[in-house]
Amino acid sequence: MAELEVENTLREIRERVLADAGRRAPTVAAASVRGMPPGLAPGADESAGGAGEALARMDANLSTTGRAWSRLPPLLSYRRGRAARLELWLKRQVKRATHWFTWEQVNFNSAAHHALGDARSALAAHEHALERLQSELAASLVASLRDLRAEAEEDRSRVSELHARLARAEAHFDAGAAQLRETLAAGIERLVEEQRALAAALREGLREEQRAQIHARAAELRSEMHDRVDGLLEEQRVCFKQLSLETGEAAVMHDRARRQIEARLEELEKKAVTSEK
Amino acid sequence: MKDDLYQRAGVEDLAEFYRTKFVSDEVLDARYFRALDRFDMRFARTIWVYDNVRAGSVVLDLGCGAGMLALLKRKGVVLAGVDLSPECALASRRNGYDVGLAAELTRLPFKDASFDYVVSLDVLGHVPFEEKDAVLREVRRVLRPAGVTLHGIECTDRRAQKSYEEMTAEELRRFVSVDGHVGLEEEQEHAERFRRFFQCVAWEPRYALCLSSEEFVKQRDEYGLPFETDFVEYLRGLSHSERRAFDMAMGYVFGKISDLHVRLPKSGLYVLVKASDAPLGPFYNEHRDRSALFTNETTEASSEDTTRAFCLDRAAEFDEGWYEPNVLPPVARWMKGRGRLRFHSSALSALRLDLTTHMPDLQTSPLGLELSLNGQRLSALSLFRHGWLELIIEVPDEMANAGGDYELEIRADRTWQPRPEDTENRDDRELSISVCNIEAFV
Repeated sequence: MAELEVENTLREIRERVLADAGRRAPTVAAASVRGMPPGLAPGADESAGGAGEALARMDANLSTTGRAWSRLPPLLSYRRGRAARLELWLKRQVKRATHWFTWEQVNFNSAAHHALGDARSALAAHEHALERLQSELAASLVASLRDLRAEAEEDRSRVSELHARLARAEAHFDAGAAQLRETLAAGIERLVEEQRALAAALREGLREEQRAQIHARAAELRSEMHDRVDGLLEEQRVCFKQLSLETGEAAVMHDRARRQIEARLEELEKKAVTSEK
Repeated sequence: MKDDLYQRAGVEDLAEFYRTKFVSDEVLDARYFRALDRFDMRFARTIWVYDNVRAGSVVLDLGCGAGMLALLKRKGVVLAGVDLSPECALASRRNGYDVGLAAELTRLPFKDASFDYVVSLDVLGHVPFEEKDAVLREVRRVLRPAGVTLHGIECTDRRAQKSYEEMTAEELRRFVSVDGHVGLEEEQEHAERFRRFFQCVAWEPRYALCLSSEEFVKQRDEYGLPFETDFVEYLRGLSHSERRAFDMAMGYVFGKISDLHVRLPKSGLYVLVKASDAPLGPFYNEHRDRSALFTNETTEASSEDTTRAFCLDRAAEFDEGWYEPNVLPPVARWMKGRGRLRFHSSALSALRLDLTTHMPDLQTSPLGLELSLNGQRLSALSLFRHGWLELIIEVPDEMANAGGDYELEIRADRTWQPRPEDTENRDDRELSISVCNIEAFV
């Protein structure tokens, strides 16, 4: 029984190694072509087949770990007789003595197995979401491309229509411009005539109006001049008055001085006469 | 050197430069002088000369400007003025100088020994260095043998101020454009120069303590003198009447320093120099007699005069309600909100005066005026247009018999300030009307 289990385990390992070697060879070749490490080659991650294979490998590994995480190696002996019994007894003793360690290993195996199971579920969900998004994106790209093509077609038709309208408008404009030139020339000629007639008619009237304006301005200037002259005359009057007053003062002072000198002279004469006597 | 400095400073026409700097409409005529103005810092140097000049002497004013020494006429002197600018010479004559001539100071148009006194104020600092000796030689020539020469001279402080050679073109232009100073020396250098021409020289540094409010600001702004910033800003913010009060106080102290003969330290600002070939009298107040400042010759009618009226413009006593006279023209006084004038007359039958105003909103808001004589209302009127108005007011008999002393009071209902915000030429006086030709009819 034990031998059978060992053989099965070894066979599974061998198959897995062979399968890994066979899958890894083309990926390594593709990465080498791009000059990048195998794990970083974008093509490796982008291919849906690569992800599916990885999940398949993970499933195979999980089946192995699911089967063997709680299994312990059997107690075997290749000896016979008493020696075999002794060896098995010793191994049983050792098994009992290392029971705590074995139990910890089993716990670890259990945790690793279940964690890998959870990771596989998450990766599968992501894979499904990615596939769905890719299909949606492809569908939307196809639709956009279809719309763009339709719009381009529509624009082409509009451009050709605009070209046609532009040609029609140019022709219309040329015709209108020619007509406008004729109309303007006629209008200017008419206006010139009207202006001549108006100028002739207003000449007389304007003369009168200008004459009235000139008269009004002259009257205004006369009035302003009159005011200024009045102000100047008034200022002159005040200045002359001031000069007159100062002259009067000077005359009075002069007269006083003259009288004082005359009085002094008379006094001196009297003294002189008195002294002569 | 003269041309160099002036040309480097961008001054082409010297006479025009000095005309724009020193000709003004200021009335310096001695007949308009008020005794109280002897304390005004503006007249401090004039009063120093006034107190050092003998009454009845012959005086020459070098660089007379508009006639700052016109006050000497109160002492009965014969007053002549010489200036580089013909306009200045004319202004000096207008202010009462007997003679006013335009001439170079190095070639004075006078005979030898013509004057008892040769005086200059703020002139020698404007004379270039190489001409100073020629000017002093001319001063000595026109001065009589025992004559005295009196000078107020601007100075410099070489430790604080750059010399002309050290100044850049821009610094020199700015410096000279302020006042035209191209010949500033230190106080003792001026004195030494005078000693080369006169046997007796005395000098006193002045203006170390007392400056007018305007001068404080100018010295700080234009010459960079280190007066305290907040003090200068305070002076800058003073109103016209406050500035006048400040200047009166400064002038009073200036006069007292002279009276007490307090020797001031060198300030690098100003020096007073007195020189003669004859022994000098006291530096201050050698011929002090201020009685003429308090009395003015009047033309008041007397029993022996034949005049019917006399003018009060120069004879009456004007109170603080009036500003100093201006040349509008004519010469007239601006009144504040209220002004009084006192005069004496043996009889009074009528008053006559010319008045005007420059108040801007006169047409929309007439200016109300009220005239009172000795406290009794004499007349009231409204000014509603600009221009001169001649006003003749009869004086009732009952008001005319006041014992000869009269007080005419004029009240205006508002005032205005001509240029209160003008930073260049601020005039924040409170003005109402301007009055002149005030006549009293006997």
